[in-house]
Amino acid sequence: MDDIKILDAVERYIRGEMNPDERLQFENLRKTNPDIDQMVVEHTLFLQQMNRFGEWKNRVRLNPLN
Amino acid sequence: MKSENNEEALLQGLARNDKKAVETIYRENYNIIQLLVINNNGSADDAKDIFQEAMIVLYEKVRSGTFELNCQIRTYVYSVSRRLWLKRLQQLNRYSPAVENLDGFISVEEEIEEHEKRNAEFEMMDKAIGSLGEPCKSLLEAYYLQKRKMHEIAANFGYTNADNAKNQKYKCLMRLKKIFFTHYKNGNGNG
Repeated sequence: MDDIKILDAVERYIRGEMNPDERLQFENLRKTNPDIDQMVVEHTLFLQQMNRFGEWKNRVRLNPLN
Repeated sequence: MKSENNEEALLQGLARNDKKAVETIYRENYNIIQLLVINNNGSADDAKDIFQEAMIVLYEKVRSGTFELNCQIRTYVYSVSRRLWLKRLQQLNRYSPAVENLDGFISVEEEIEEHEKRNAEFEMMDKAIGSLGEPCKSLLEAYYLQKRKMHEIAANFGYTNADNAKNQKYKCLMRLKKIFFTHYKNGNGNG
């Protein structure tokens, strides 16, 4: 698998967009491939950071003065 | 007097970005913050800024999931606003003795420091995404912020298929990470 496909798989896995078969297959891959496992961990953190960034960008909504 | 349950419900509402909760917190607290700022060398616009900032600090706190209400919302918002305003005055080289008085407030130093660090980090991220140009900026925002699916994004942006859009998004993401982390390491991230 090339990097683009790996990232795509990691993201679909984290976002819950895989079907059950694909998910199971990917979970086995994680167990046997420490690099992929590491990528899932790192990318989960990155996605959390992006979520917080998105909230931060929306923060003006908090203020009835705007 | 507000009951504790009521306060808890307001905070939960704030965490959900509930308009009513936000408006209630505003209604019950804005006047006192405005008074604080105006009585201490500030304008009505300064008061608006400070109140907004304090609301964000409170919001971040309730969103973090570890927040326990150990004082009234009013005390918290007032303490944060007071501290923020004092800092602002120092930056502007204006001085106001009244806000220096520490009695009756809770300490919010750590929260404000964290809040400022986070602000700096997100401002940097915002700049980094902006500097990518189009279509990278919109592509990354559609996927990571609006959480849209890649096949939708591909169709919306006019790619012939999702794989090509994924390919482009991958390149954009790598560029973003490079810009963000280079910038971050160059000392703008407060360590």
